[in-house]
Amino acid sequence: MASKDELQSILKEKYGINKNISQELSKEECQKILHLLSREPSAIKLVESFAQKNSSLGNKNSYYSRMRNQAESKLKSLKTEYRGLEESIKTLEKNKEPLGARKKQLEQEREKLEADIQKLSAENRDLGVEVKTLSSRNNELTEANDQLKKDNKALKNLVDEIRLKLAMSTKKLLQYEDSEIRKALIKMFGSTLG
Amino acid sequence: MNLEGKELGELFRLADEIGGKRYHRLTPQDFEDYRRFDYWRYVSGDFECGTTQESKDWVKDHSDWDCPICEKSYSKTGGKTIDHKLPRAQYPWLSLNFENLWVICRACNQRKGDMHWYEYEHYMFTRYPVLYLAVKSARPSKLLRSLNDQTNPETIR
Repeated sequence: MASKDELQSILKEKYGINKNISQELSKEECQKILHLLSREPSAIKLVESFAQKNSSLGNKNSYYSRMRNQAESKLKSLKTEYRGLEESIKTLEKNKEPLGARKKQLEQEREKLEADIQKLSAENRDLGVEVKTLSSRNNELTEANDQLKKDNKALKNLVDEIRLKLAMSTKKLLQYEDSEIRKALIKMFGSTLG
Repeated sequence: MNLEGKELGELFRLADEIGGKRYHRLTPQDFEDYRRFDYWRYVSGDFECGTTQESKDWVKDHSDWDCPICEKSYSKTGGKTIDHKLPRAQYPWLSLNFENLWVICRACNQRKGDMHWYEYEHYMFTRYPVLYLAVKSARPSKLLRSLNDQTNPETIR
């Protein structure tokens, strides 16, 4: 007399009925099914259809299970990532405040520098005007200096020319006979005209 | 300056003193002008490096055997020298104006020294009257007139 397990093995081998399906049946019911299947091809067909469907469902189940595992794994990593991001956000929020203060400080410094630039620019413009004025005055002084050095020499030559003419005139006067005039002229000639 | 009561001789002495001064400030341009002659006359502008061929040629073209003042042979009076009729120390802008240059003997050049032109004429008239006409004929009238121009100093650069 065959045991239930042996009967289940026969059902598996001959008709593709898995043991986990036939497990719900009693030994007698396994015998009845074997008997039925040996006589009814339509039942065999039905059982094979069930087995095929079961196999297909099993494959799908396995596929979905893998997908679910992948999704769970993905979810886990996303959660980890999310937590990381939350931490980062917290850190950023924490840093935001001093950065805001720094930004404000930099903004103030920028405004101060801007004001300095404007001030320097104004000073530069003033200096530019001053340079132009000084340059103009310098040109005037250079021209005056050039004129002055010529005037100085012209005056010196004029005086020398007067002295020369006086010397010439005196020499002519000395040709006259009057001894008193000659004496006076010689005296003047000697003391003034060399 | 109080000129009242001064004798003519004293007035002339004062005029000489003032005329000998440089009333203008000696500018870098003046010094550059002054040195212009040196760079033309001497190699590298240095007396010890010898005279340039260009200035030698100029001397040759503007002189003969005798000095135009004393009319003595250059060989007997120390050789040829280039003189500034209006001395370049006082007239730096005329340093290399060729109308201001002439060739005279060394003795006459030393006698002339740094005198202004009419001062030199007067000196020659009173001390060397025989040579005066030669000096007078060399008078740089055009340059002397240019001192009265109201334009910039005349220079040849």
